[in-house]
Amino acid sequence: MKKQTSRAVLVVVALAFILPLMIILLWSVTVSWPFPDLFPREFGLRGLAQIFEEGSRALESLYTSVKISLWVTILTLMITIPGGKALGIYDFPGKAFIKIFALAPLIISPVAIGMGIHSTFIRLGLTNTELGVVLIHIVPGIPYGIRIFTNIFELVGNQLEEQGKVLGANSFQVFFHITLPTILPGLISAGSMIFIISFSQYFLTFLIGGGSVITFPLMMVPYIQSGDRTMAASYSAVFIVVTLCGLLAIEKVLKLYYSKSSGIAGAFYTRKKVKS
Amino acid sequence: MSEILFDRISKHYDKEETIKNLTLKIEDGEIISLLGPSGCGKTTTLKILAGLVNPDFGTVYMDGINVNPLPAEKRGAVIVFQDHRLFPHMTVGGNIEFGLRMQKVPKRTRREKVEEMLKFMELEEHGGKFPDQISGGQKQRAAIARSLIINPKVLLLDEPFSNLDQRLKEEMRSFIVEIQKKLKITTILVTHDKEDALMTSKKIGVMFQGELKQYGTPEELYEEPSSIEVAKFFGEVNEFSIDHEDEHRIHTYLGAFNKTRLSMKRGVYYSKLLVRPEAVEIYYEEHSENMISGLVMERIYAGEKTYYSILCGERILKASVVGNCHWNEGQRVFLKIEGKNTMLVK
Repeated sequence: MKKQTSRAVLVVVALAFILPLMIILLWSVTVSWPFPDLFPREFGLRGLAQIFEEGSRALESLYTSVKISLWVTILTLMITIPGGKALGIYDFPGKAFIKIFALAPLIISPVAIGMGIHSTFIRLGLTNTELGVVLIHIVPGIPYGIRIFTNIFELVGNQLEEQGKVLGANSFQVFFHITLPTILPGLISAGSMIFIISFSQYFLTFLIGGGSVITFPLMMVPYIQSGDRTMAASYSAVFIVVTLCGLLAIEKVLKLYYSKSSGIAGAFYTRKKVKS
Repeated sequence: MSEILFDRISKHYDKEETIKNLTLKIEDGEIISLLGPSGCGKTTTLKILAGLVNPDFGTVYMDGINVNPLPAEKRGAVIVFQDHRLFPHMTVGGNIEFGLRMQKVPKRTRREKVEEMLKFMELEEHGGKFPDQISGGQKQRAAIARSLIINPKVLLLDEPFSNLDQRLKEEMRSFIVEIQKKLKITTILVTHDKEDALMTSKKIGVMFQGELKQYGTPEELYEEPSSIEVAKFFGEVNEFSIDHEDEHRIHTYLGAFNKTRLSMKRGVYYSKLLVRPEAVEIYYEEHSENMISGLVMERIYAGEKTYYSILCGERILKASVVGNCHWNEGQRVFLKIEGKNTMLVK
């Protein structure tokens, strides 16, 4: 009985996630779907064709978006891994304050932060550039990265790193051979999170990019606003597929890299040889 | 292989003193133990030597060289931690190989050395397994193998036996003594178990609350403890305050003892006389002078020994006799304590 209830709950939750996606996918291949029909009256590939046609601005913006999001992911990880480690392992004065401070972008509206940074970026000449957009995208990703890595480091501690050091590994070797593989699960979740946050950023891109840096959401929003549901749904479908691919890619690349590196660590004792 | 000198080392954590003015010299190729209850600063001492913790005061010397400025990876002092700390993402072979790989030793040499080490540690079949696929004893051996393969100057063992069951513990103890003899590597073993220390080490340092109370051979520590704490750490003692002493004798309320102990130093004021339970002899009759009359209060038979609590005057005296003995509860007995079997402490 209990099992059945929990299964029913699972199904409902799954449907709650999947149904909206199904509707988006349906809309992306719909020509007309008047009220009160339950299913579309006519199907067609107008939306997707327009996105994928040659020389389409959509593809160009998709490329820009992926490029920016990957850079943002790498840079944000570079900031939040050491940050999270410091907060998770070491004790220093003002730690509690910094912990809260790092979460500030979650609490304070990105509009407020964006406006402040905007005026600074104008002076630095970073507005209307991809670099400027990359930098501003780092801001909303930081709280997530810091949070995840703080928790991870609190959990794993620095015992393995200490062991690595006494075995003769320098700081660089300790980081690449011990720290990174140990925090791999956190690395994947934080990386995915940061990628999605950057990829779906509209306002901050618009503010700093000033219309010169066109990302995918920037192309998408006008269609949603204008009520062209087929186009909006097509863009959304592509958006979802690309994010999913992005996430899978991040996970695969990291896992592959580290299964290989531990393969080097045990050069002749790789996973395959295991019998148990 | 290295001679170690801790020179007046102190370390504070949050205003609390973890190590107080520690001075300790360990000869080249020697195996010693640091013994003490948990939280007495033993592990911190190891970490200071390994370079994981910086002392607040004092200097660590290895072979006469001040190693304070050297980072951990350049000291050649390897700790084998209590929880093994094998890298979970590497195989057992990969773990053992780690140190060599960090030194950029060529792959072929690495391979040979790892194979050799796996054989030496009787881990041949487990080289390809991951740490979570092997037993506790094997993990321990893998961790030791990982340390030995880089030829460390000092091997530091942090509670190496505490996670093992009795049989495995005995096996590991003799194993460690054996490799230490074979490789002549300077070894410091940290433990809270006096048996571990007594059975593995030529010398033992007893630590309490960050202070090295006494450093000496097992015999010295057992027979001539420097304080009641040290004496108690090695087993039960009966303690008596000294009333007064004259030229030849020490007087306690239990009677007078001849000053035959070699440990009595001139000019030192001793306040307590200690007697181990096994030094108390029990008789039916009073057949010589200076015997103490008592009443058997409790008898506990524990196989190889029988333990007695005997009421003498107002005090309970503990005694132990090898084998099964027949004095029963409520029986009147006479006790004899030889002066030479007593200990004096300040």
